Amino acid sequence: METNLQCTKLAARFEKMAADGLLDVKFFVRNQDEASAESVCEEVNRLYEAVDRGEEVDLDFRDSVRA
Amino acid sequence: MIISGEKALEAFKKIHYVREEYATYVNGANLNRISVEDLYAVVSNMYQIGINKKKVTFEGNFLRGMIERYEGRAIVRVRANQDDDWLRFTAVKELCHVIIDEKEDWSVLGVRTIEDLLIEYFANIGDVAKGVSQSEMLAEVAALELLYPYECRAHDLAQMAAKKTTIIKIASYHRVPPAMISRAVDNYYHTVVAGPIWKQILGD
Repeated sequence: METNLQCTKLAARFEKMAADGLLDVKFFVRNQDEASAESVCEEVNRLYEAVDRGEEVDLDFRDSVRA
Repeated sequence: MIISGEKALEAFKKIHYVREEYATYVNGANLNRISVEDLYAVVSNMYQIGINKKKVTFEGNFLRGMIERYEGRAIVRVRANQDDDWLRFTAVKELCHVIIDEKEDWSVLGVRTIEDLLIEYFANIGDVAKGVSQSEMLAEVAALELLYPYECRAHDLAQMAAKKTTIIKIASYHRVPPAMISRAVDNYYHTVVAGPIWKQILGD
């Protein structure tokens, strides 16, 4: 029984992204002492599934001070 | 985990150059309250890379954000359900990968990166961290050094000692999470890590 389904699924996504030009990917992970690779991969998968559903918006902090 | 001195020095130098460019770009800038929008514009111009940033709605306990880099462009994604100061810090931390990472730090093996990050967290307590963790740790430190200038800290520490200010007030002013301000004013970080590096770059 495969216990790292989320990591396997994510690895396949990154392989495709690399073929499409991805050069690097980095993550900001909190609570590393509590996290497992599978749980972090699950969250990254959730992020991408949300993106695929169109559930992302531009992040604009509206804090520019340049005249 | 301990940061490699050589890599930390190089990262701090790059941050210093970014702050100088930012000061020029935002004429009359208050470098104590960095505009994330203006910072992104400065870094995009300095490194000739188009950078988009997005807020994504998903449930998560561990993942604050991430960055993907392609030829000539990058995209930063940040988990939506975070406090404003963590949205800001995450966006800046991911931007710092554009600033400080060299090609030798790049990897498309995202799952391996996640695994190494978690393994190295436990394996390297007390030792100099390796590869992936260096990049991640330095990006966090770089974001902190960008948003909470070293030159503010001696005064803030004196004010805190005199009970005239608090971590929360300092955090609110600089728009940085209190947990990161605490890290910056930690005695070991301030006197052993950041202090000597800034002294090398800026002089006494």
